[in-house]
Amino acid sequence: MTAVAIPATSEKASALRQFFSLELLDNRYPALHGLRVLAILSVVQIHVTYVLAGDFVGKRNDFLDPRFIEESYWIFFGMDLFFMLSGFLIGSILLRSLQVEGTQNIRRFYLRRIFRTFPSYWVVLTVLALSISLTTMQRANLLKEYLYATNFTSLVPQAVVMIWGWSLALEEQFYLTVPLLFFVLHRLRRDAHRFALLLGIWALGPIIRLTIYLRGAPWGYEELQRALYFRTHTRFDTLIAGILLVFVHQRYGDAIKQWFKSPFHRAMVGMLSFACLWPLHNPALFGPENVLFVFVFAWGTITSIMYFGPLLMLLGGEGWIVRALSAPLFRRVATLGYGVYLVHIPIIYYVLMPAVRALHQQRVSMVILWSGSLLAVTILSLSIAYGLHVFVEKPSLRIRERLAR
Amino acid sequence: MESGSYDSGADRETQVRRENPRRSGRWTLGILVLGLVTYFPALTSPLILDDYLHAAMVRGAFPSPRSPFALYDFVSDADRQLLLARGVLPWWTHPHLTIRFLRPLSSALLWADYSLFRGRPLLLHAQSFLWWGLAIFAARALYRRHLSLRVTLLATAIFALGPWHAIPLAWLANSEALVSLGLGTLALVAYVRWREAGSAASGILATLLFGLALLGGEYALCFGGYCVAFELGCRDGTRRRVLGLLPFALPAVGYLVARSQLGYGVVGSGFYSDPLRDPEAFLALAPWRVVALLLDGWLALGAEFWNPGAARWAGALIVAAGFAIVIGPLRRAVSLLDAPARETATWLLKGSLFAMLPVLAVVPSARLLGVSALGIAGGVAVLLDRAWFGDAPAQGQGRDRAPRERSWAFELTGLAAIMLGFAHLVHGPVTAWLTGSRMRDQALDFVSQTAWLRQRVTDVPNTEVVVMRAGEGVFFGAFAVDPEGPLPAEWRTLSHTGHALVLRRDLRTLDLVAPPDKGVFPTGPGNLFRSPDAPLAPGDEVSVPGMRARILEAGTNGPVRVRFSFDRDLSSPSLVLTSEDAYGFKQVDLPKVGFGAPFDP
Repeated sequence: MTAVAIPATSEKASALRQFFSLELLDNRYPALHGLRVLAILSVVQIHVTYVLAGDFVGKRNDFLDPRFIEESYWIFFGMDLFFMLSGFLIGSILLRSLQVEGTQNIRRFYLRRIFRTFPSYWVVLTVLALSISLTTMQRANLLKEYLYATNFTSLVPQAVVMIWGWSLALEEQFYLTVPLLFFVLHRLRRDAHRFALLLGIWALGPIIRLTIYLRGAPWGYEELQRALYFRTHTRFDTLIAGILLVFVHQRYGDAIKQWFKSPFHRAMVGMLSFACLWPLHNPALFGPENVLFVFVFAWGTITSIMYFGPLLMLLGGEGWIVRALSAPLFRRVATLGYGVYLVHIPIIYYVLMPAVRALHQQRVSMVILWSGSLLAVTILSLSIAYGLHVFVEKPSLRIRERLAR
Repeated sequence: MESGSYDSGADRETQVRRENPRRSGRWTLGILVLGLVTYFPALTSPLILDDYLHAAMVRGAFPSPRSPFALYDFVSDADRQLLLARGVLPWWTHPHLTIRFLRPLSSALLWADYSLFRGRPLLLHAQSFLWWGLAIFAARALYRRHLSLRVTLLATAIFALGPWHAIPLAWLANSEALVSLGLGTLALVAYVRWREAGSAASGILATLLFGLALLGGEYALCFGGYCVAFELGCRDGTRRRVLGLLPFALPAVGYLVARSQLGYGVVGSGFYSDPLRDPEAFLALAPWRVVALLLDGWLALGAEFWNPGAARWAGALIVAAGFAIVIGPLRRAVSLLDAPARETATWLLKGSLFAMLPVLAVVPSARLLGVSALGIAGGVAVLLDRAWFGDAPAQGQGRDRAPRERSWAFELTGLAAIMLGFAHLVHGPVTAWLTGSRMRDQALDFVSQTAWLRQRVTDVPNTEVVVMRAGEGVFFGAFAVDPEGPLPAEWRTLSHTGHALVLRRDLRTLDLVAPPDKGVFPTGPGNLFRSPDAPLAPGDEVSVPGMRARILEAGTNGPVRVRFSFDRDLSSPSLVLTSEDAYGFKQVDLPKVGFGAPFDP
């Protein structure tokens, strides 16, 4: 009996462990996991600061230094990094498929995307839609949200349930066009033509934004943001930059790695990125009258250039920065990143803010409240994202494996 | 005097000179051309700020006559009342306000320029650019003595194209900083030659040049920092080192004695805190100002980044992180230089820090960093050269034997170099260009914003102007009414604030109410005319000819409600009533008696 019972318990424990374990992300580019985590943290930070500032500034005069709030909005540009990484990963999947099998296998590509991203999103959307009393506009737009068209609604909290779903919608819409792009790229015979095509499409982004800007001037900040920041046809350039990055890395990875061995070359690329970060961080650099014009290029063009060099460096790099970004912990956190993005804003609104208001009444310093909020939202989001991963993502990934072989 | 016992630089100097002089010359010429491009907006700026005062002094329109050597003698006991009466100083001026700078050489040069090239500011700027060029050539000579050609060129470029020169080049009144910088840097070269090669002629030349630099302005006192740093690092005995300071100390002591005996200095201003007259205020502000200058000089964070009102904890984090990244690699880069270069880099770096001391009396700004920049540029260049072109340490060799540690130090140096490279090779020149552009725009805006005054006031010497609410026009509006002619008979600025509300009490009296968070006039470092140690309280009364101001109410930022009583009806045709907003000076129609009217910025 004992001899039989022990393996049974062990099997059960092993099955339980397996059930609760993480289905870790692909590890071909480990340093990108660290970057993804930094991007997640930057997005969470911006939203925590934004919501806290919205609640406190104007009502009470004791929030953080206004300059800090303002600068925290512009720091890091995590969303654009997400787009770039997304473009890179999708591009690398399709390119590998083309190289290995000579075909894109579009059915498998879409099945993989659908089963990777749809279930968790739908679960969170449904839970939110059921737990709040919907406005008429929210009800009217709900189908659009389910169909990943959030970024083509009027993006205000009264109109949509998951306003932050705009970026997921944008990516999904972009994925619809990617196989066609790869088909064209595959038909081209020379790399120079492929690069020219990708560069041309990338350059279309700012041209479209500039055209909209010039035709619609004068703009207010929010109007311009609604017109340019959230729409696929005005934000695709960062995703295209990710695909361009795949091609450059695949074709010239070794030569680039060699080139980056020179500290001077690394410095030139680093300085270019800093130069890009400068107007992003300080859009009034060329005068307050030109701030909106700077945004036309900041939202996509400058961010693409800013990330392109360092990403190339990391992909072929060595040293402690690459080692640090490749730490196994980052891979685990990055695996939960999608879930964190889905749930962090409801956590801020429905869990954090009541607690912050109560603590503020007890005269807890806003510096402590802000940093504590950031920590609490990150931990809570990771915990819920873990639940989503185990109970929603993993089962759907199992189904995906069966369907998308 | 014999040569100082630093490792002799003579051989090294010869070696450096042998390093392809033609190529080196081309690079230097390139730096000068880049400087011309970078500072082009600054060099094409029209008159701005104090330039109007100087122009008025030279053409004899300033209420109190000035000699060619006293253009920087702005306010003294002798003429304060006259300037108050004419309105060049506003009613809230400190009763003992004194702003007098001993800058006879710079003053005489400006006098000559205004006399010769009146109405052609480009030619005046050309002289400033020549002084800048002299400073660049002298700095290059200083670096070349012991540093490699590449470090020399990098340091020269960083020094030449940094934001520290933008304001002195755009603002003619601040060109005195370039006069002192050019002559002082040349003096430093002679000083180092004297101490290293023992040439008496160089010692005499250094003394003369330091003397001339000080006659250019007190800014030259900053060079003392380099002399002290040089002597501190020198291996000579104490006596020789003290004697070594003489070429700087003799003219500096002479200058300070003359300054004190002739009553020069600043009293009662919020903008300047004279360390000799008000050491307490100076010491209270000095630590923050040092940090601000260090942040700006090294990390290009802008001197205004760190001020007493900013979120200090956030600033402290950035400072700690920034310097943590820079200091280790910098020490390492310096330690890997050969002996003469290492000693040069060390005294340049220490000197750059000591050179900040004299400018702590003023609200921090990049324009104060020109002398410190000599050492900062040298240090940054050494680090960049090591990080970008130095040999990567081989495994098991060098100071860090463990491969992981070596790699860590190597990459940290690379990171610091990227940060500093961006700060000094990209951010610096672009900021210099932008600063020049902004100064030029500001100067042009001032011309257009005062256009209404020039149209409205036709009989300038017999007109009295009353400004309800002023912006920057508080300082120089009176001089813009007729830039080529006399000042108005009187110029009365009632407030320098944000929104102001005017309540008409009777025909001759009005109350002016300012927002409680601003006050009727600025307080603290923003108030050139009154230091915070002499606040105006409710019940205080100030009289100037034709007008009396009584403080009715004061908040945390000074008076917020003031009653102005005039000696005549405010609708008198001899008065021109105006107010300045974002678009300039405008006609004002006062409300009827018993009513009020707002004046917005």
